[in-house]
Amino acid sequence: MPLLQSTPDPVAAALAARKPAPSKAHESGIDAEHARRSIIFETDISGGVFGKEWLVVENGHLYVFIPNGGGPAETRHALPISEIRAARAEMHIGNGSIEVDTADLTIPLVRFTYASAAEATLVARWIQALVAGDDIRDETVEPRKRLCARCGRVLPEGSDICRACIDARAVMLRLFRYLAPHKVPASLSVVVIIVSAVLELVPPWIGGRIVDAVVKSVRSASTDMSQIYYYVGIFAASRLGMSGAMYAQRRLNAYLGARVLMDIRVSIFERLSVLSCSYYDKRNTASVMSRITNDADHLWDFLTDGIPWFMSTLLAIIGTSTVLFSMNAPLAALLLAPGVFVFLLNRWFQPRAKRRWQQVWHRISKMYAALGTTLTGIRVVKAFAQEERERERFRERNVNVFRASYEANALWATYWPILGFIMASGYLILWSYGGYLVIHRVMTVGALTAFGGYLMRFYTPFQEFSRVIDWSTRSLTAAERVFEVLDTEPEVRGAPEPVTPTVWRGAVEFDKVGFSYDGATRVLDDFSLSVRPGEMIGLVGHSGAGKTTLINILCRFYDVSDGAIRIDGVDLRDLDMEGFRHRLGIVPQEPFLFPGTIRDNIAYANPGASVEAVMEAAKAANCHEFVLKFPDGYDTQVGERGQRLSGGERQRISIARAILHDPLILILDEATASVDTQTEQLIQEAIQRLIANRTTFAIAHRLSTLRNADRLVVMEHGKMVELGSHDELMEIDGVYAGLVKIQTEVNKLRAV
Amino acid sequence: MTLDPDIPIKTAPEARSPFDLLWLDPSVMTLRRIAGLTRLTLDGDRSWLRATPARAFPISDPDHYIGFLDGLGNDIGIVRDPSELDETSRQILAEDLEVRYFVPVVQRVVSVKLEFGTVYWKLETSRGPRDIVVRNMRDNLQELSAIRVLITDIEGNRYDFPDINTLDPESLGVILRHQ
Repeated sequence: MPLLQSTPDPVAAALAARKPAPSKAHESGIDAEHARRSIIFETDISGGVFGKEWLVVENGHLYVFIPNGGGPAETRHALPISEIRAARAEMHIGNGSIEVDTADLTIPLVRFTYASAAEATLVARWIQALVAGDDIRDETVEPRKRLCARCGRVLPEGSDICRACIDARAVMLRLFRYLAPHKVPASLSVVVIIVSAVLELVPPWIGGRIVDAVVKSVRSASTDMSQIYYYVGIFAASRLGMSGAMYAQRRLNAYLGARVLMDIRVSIFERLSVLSCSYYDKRNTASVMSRITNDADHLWDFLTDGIPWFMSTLLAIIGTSTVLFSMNAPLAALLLAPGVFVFLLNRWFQPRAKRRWQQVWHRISKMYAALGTTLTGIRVVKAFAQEERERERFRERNVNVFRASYEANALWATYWPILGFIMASGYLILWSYGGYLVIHRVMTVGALTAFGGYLMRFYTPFQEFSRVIDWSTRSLTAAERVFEVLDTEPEVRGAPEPVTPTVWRGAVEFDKVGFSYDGATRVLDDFSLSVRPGEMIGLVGHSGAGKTTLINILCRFYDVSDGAIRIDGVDLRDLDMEGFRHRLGIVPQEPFLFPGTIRDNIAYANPGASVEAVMEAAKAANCHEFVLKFPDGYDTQVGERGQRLSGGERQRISIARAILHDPLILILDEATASVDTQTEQLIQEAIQRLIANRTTFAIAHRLSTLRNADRLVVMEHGKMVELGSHDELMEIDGVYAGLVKIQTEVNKLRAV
Repeated sequence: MTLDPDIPIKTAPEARSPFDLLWLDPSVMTLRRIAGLTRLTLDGDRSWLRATPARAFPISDPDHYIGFLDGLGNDIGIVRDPSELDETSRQILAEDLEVRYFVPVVQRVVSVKLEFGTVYWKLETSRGPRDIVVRNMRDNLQELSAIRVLITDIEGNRYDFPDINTLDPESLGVILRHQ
């Protein structure tokens, strides 16, 4: 961590050399004061190469120390804070630097790599705050490289689970808990697996008995078939039993696996729907989705194939070895040797094969990507006559795929002959030593035949066991990732005793509100505003000024970091959320339509609304006409494969949805950003009808759309800089007036 | 890199449109250090304080085509071959470029370890020894040519492997597998 809590020895020594030692009596008090006010920043570039330097702020001074062998650090800079005019962190390529300006000089203090960039920015801001005489805010930075507390390995992105430190037993137990509601099929499944493992042992044994019976009959010149029929009968019964068991096992596993998976998927989704927006900010949608898709699929494999396979293989090994060792222990022991070699061969081979195949898949996906890009851009390719080059490029990718897949497949060419030879060597041992035993009357011919029958069954588990480690790690990781989601607590929680205002009127009060998404950068600072019921507030400012953040915390997608938001006098955090959201309406910048009919979409928040109400809302939102023109009218399917709607049409449906919802507080987030002027007119009219008698917050880049606002809030860098009506703000001739002038110029240009 | 002598060097700023590149003539241009900042002076009369050099081709041709931006990030002009600058200017340019670009070139891989899809490298670089961690090699490996790759570590720093064929077989294997 570049921000140190304690002073490194060379720095402490250098500091001590600079000032007389404080008297013992005051030491503790001074230390406490220092600890609060001092900054120690350790960089990772020194003299143009990797190395440590320290930037220290203490006692109203800023120092830069550089290491000096093992002794006290050398002081490169020592500046009183009072001489500094400004401080900043400048980012370059692969590194950055903290610079300060004095009255007549710009001094580069220290350099750092991206590893410490976030901390360096914070340090620069702190110095700036000290220069301005402000207090240092107690902020921390989330490190990009997070280490496992137990083993020190790097943790995977967006997860706190170290794959090396998974408590396998706990995870397995928890997974098995999902089987608890299905006790009957689960125990049935175990019984069936045991039965089929036992039945599997029967055929080779019967084979041996038949051979013995035949040999005996031939010797005694008897033609009695009864004993042979008897054994054939047992054989047929056991095969039938095995088929029955297999049938039962497959059905039970299919049911259990799918059922447990369903339970898990449902519980993941339930948890995901409860989690706050901040959970989704830290992760991309694809990675969240993969919890439900990929990870759950790995669990499915594990539950339907993995566990039963593991159990039956284990039983097969125990069963076969028991039978073989009881028939003839020395021969069985000798036959174990090739089994060990099979195991070792697979231990060597599996990881190599896996790596090569990963390379093949990676190259294939690159080839597909190239293909996709070229075909999408085929017009450009043809227009610039670059077909030849694209052909060459595609060929090159294909050659790469060919090389990789040749190498991967060539590996099999080594594997199978070796495996075949090892397995065959089992028969060499069996026939030479087994033949010796038969000739010396220690064993019967039948027993030798039975051994032959068991041999392959004996070796297969050795071949597969090396796969188990790889496969169980993957399933356990998947299980852990799933459980991680299930264990995440939402950051925004409902109040334990929700309060409902006596009357919902729609008054909104921001009281010294501050907010930060990551705990480091403040995107909203000391924002206070009192909004009367029914008032329309326009939010103006550059992108990144904090307008959308203000909306996000008003909707309580996030909780404020400082201060409070009150709705009709009740703190948002104590408010009955369900009641509040029923009275809140949003027309987002990018209208979102769910798959379904137009009617379903307008009635999304009020599924019980009558068709007449839907049509009235649509009429008020200026959508009725275009909807009637569709062949399927309000029954038109929209969303993924439905009717393609223009941006303006989607926006008006979104407005109709808000009108039907009839909210007390309405939020318009850039509702007319992406439409042409004529459509904007239609949307504007719709909005006019929508905002009547509602407390409205509207964000807009086109200032003309805010002309009806009662008051405009001009924001810059998370702070309110101007507040007033259009006329008042034009009078001040400040930021707002400037923005209006620019837009008027641009509009003139457009008109030309 | 061959320079095209047919492109005329324009130094009179008033004669050009804002959409033309301004080719800075090294013989009439100087860089000087003023109050900790770099001042670029052209023809002895026009000058910009806080001039920042930027390589136009930092990867394929780092020694030619050095552009200059002023304190507000506006384009001043571009120098074809900075080796024609005077001694002091060359020195200042070298210092400024050294500060701006920090992409360590890997000289030797001391060790490489792959665990659970994360690669732990111990490197010796042009900027000194460094241990780095790369998660998801596939997304963090940039192929610059058949032999040269850039690898971005978990903290966003980039490392230049100029010739992967000079690496030990194990490191080469890790890179090839993710190419």
